[in-house]
Amino acid sequence: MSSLTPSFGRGAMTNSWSDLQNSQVFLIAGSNCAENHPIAMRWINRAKAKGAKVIVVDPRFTRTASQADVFAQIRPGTDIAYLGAIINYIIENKVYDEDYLRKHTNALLKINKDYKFEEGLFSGFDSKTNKYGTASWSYQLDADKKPLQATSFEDSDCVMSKLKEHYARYTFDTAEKITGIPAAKIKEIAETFCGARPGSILYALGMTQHTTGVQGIRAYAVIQLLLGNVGKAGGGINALRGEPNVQGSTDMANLVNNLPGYLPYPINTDQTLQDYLVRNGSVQEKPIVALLKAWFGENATKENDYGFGYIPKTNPAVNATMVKVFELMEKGQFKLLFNFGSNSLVSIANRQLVRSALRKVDMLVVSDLYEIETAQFWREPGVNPAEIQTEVIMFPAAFVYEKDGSLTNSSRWIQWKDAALKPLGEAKPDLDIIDSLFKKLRHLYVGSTEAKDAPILKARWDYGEEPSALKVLQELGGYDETTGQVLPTLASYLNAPVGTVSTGCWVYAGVTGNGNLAARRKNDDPSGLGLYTGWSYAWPGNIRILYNRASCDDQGQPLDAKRKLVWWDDEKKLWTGNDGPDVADKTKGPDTPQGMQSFRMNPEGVGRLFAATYTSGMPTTPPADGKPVIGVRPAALCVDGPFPEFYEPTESPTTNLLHPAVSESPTAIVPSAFPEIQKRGKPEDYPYVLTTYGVVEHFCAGGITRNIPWLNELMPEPFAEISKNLAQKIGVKEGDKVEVSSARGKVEVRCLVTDRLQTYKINGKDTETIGMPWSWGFASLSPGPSTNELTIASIDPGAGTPETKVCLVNLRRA
Amino acid sequence: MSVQTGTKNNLGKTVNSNKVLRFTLGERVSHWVHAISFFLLLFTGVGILSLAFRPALGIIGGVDVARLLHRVVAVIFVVVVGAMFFIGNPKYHWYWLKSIFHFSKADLQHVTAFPKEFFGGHGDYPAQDKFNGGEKINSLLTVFGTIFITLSGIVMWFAPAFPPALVRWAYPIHDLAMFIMTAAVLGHFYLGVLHPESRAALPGMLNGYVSAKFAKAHHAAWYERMKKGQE
Amino acid sequence: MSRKMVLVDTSKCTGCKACTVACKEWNELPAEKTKLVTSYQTMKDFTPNTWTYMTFTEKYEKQKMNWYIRKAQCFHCEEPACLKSCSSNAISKKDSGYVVIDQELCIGCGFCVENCPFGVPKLDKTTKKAYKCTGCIDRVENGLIPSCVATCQPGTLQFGERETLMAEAKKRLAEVQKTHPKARIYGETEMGGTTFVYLLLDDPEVYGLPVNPQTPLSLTLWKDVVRPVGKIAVGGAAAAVVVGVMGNLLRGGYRGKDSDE
Repeated sequence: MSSLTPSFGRGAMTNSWSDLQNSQVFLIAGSNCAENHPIAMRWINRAKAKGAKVIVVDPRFTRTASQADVFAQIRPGTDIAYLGAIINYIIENKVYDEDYLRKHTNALLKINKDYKFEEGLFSGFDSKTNKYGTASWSYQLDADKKPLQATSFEDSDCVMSKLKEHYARYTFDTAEKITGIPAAKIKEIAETFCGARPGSILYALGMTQHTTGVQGIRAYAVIQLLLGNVGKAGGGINALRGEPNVQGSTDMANLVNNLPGYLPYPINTDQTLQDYLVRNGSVQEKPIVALLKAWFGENATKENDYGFGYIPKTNPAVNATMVKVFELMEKGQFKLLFNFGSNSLVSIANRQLVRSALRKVDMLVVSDLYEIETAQFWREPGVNPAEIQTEVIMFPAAFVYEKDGSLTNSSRWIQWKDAALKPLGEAKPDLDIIDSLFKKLRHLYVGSTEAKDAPILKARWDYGEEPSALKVLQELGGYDETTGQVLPTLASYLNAPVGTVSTGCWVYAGVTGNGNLAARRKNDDPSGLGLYTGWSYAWPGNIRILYNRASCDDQGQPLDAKRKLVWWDDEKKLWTGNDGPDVADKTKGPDTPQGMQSFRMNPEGVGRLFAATYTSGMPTTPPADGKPVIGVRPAALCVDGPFPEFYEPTESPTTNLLHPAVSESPTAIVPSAFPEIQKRGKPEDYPYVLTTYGVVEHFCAGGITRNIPWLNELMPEPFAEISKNLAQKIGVKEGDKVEVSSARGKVEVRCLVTDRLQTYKINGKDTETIGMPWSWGFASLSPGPSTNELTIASIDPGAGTPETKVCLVNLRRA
Repeated sequence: MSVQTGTKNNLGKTVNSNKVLRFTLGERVSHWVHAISFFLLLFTGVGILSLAFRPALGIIGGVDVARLLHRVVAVIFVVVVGAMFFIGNPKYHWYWLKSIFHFSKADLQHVTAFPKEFFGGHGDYPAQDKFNGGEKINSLLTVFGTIFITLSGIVMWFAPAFPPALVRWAYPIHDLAMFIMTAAVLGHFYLGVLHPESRAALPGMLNGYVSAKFAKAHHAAWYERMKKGQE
Repeated sequence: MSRKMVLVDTSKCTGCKACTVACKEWNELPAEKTKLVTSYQTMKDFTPNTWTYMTFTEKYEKQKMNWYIRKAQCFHCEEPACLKSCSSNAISKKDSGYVVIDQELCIGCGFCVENCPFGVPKLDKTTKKAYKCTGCIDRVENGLIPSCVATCQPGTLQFGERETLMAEAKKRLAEVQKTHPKARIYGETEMGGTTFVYLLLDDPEVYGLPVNPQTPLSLTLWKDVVRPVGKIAVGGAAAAVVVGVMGNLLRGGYRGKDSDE
């Protein structure tokens, strides 16, 4: 999300599950999809049957790797090193798609001469705050404030030159010394992946849960743009989102810096809508007003700034991402925690902080199917319930099949389902719980004239006496506020004047327009490309493959005769095709500026190899009214650099070979407010690298699955996977108990001695990786130690994701 | 060794004018326990293994009862008879066992000549001892049949404790032993109950005594020895 | 019903174990207590309540890892040893090739357990009945595909007509052999040709399968030799008795003899 937006303009998987069948080659790295997204293998195997090659790069030989043509075991957290080597290979050998680069990327745009990368630091680094100023990461602009364009890749100022220069350091040999993958193997990966197109890259949490998570995926974006693999069937970067509606919850602003529909969250300096638009561009005016109309209805008027003042603003100086929330809780910031559908006590890195922080709230409300660990934190073994003052309230939640509603999958398909069963006992759907809470709360505020209570009293809350999930989806899909009718299409939203329409999430606009499109179940696939455009509804505008304009040539005709997505119909003067054309205006021909753009959500209209600071549509002269200027669309940025750079994980067995002085990511957030809890280990004490993962038999933190006997019998206990060499060294055999310890804690589990993990060499030194699944906790029918007892909670500065995938541990026979 | 002093079952006289004690109480108990339990085992076993006979198990309450009964009776079949070799006065048991393994020329001649007698004719063979050749063969079949059927039965009963291959072989062995013993018991029954000449031996197994005439005619060697007070 | 087949293409299997769950769900079988056996395998063997499970075999050679994953279940043999071993007519073979146990008829003698060359049927200690994979015959006879096949996502399991699928299997084999020269089809001829047919990536013994599964000699001997010969022997003895009685009757052996004693 935080890396795809700066690259392509939208933070979502570019293609779809069913599109995987169109690929010629896969790079699956940072995803164990056979384990965590088993259905992906259906489509990957179909592509394989047609001759596609599968490359798997992983710290372990996984279930997914069992299907691979090429497998490489990598040291956890070093992906950018070998990906950089692949980028270098592509440029050196000129295997990139030059035409694509010229037309659909910023390869030729000229970069600000102040931009530099020296000794591991990009220009603009402030060592006091450990943050970058991004001014120098900009383009050279012309008089119209548009980026200057070079004519050739040889131009020393252009993005392509800078890219070449940046990655020249990443040789196969260097990458071998960092990652532990033999140079020849990296070369094989590069040749295999670049040797067939379209190629698809699949990733998931294995890539994101690092302090360099965002940049790792940026590296994927660079590779895919170089190879011309984005916007095409069988290509793209496929961020595999989880079953529990991860895509849907991100669409609904599950992330702290978003409002629904990926609108930037207002900050404390945004006193008015005008301030907000100055920061975020005029392009956000319609969606934020439509959102405010959805939330406050007739109480959102032009006169009251559409109720912009009703929305609480955040303080950008306070990081309130998941791990940091518990730090704030530990500090006593919160009195009440609502915990819905999350088992933080199992799932959060360095769970000691969670255990401690939950004691600091007055009341904890947990809504779940089972009494999960988080709800029982007060009776974890070793904890004295008498010492805990927190009042814990449990809401029995209905299961997914017991409620109506939509789930948005990784393909961005909004899929409606009806309840199949009545909720068990007193259980209720989340919607009913929240609806009931809100109604009671509002009742308590009736009569208040205090400004702070206005949002609750002014909110539009009209989901019915018995709340209806369909009404919620209709609110997301939008209403014509002048007639009260649901918006028929995305276009009806786009074409409406500001303030006359509402949508609870503008990317969902039109989903309930002509009937409930999310409930469509037409299963035919006339193109044979797995588009299934009659099945449910994909945001935006039922486009199945994002940026599909890039699959056409200058005349708007498909480049790949076997994979025709969209085309320009010259007779009808209209963009049309098997898929919904991803163009701003379907009537604008391929030769018009709008009809050329493939990445229309980026201010440049192209894919961004270099994540530059740029806002489109900036006026050349200041506005006459003296107010601050409002551009059209600012680019999304990566706070830790415009190009991906390799940095060691927070806990690493070695120092950075490229720039030892700046070994770790200089902007990574390493929480240290509570030194007793947030300890950091050294390789002398903790010589082995631990990586963590899920198993197919259990789901995430196991809150549900560990209470299902049929899943427990499939995977009854957690374990530590170790190499045969390591087993011999500490004198254990398969099935023996081992104690795994980090600076933060220790756990005792059975060890699984396997050839699927091999000893590898890092800069000449033998290194061992230990693998542990993390889905267990002290409660449930199948209790077991939580691996997050060991992990470190250092955080990616862009996404706020903790580095759960790598930390240092020691191992001994228990 | 004298019979008179050798057994409690002896009524005092081994030989009187017309009756001779052939089988002691212990021997008779063994025989009948073995016989009755064999028929019960045969009935239940065949019922279990053969669908054609399965309906007959209705008499005893069905196949599950039969399986239980088969095991209970099997224990009696083995343990009671086995115990008789050690309790009471087991020496006649041992004598029998020893004698059936001692196959003389006279026994052989009996066996070759007997078929004629079997079908109602008259066989010519030398004077026979307490057990004639035919009886020895019947006894041998019984002994080996019992050993094999018992061992294979144990393997079948406690199958999980044995190697699968052994369990697999136990079935044909059990069955084979059953067939042999059944065939033998048919002949035995015929001779003991239906055959006009040899059924005179039946009382020997009922009250222990056979007629002196029968003893003289069929077991002359033994009878003569008895008369002389020898074994 | 025509001869059916389930192709288990292990080259596509990712070991997700969904088939195991689907089996238990459809057949309403309870979960059991397990622990890690080896690799990711937690079910050691079939049980009366576990009719299908996955085996995981790790083989590392020449710096290449092979993780062989196999879904184990009843093969539904053309010449089923279990059927041959059953004396209660509880096991039968259908036209579809399915071999099923009728628990109503099963007396729990356990001989099928001993004779299956794949160790499939298992005896329930409480109900004293043998159980095994039914191939979801209840579904198949009603136009559905087996539960395990229906749930399989990677395309490992396919259900269909034997001839069609066997041709498909051979095509796949040619493809798979390019990367796995030892790959083979297992079940085409084994036990007369099984209903569940495997595409294996390596030798059968690597997967814990017998190279040449056969009806045990003891069973053949029993059923084809001991039984008929035994019946003849008993019949012969009975006939001899009848003839003997007749002979004695004819010769007047029963007359006046009794009084002699």
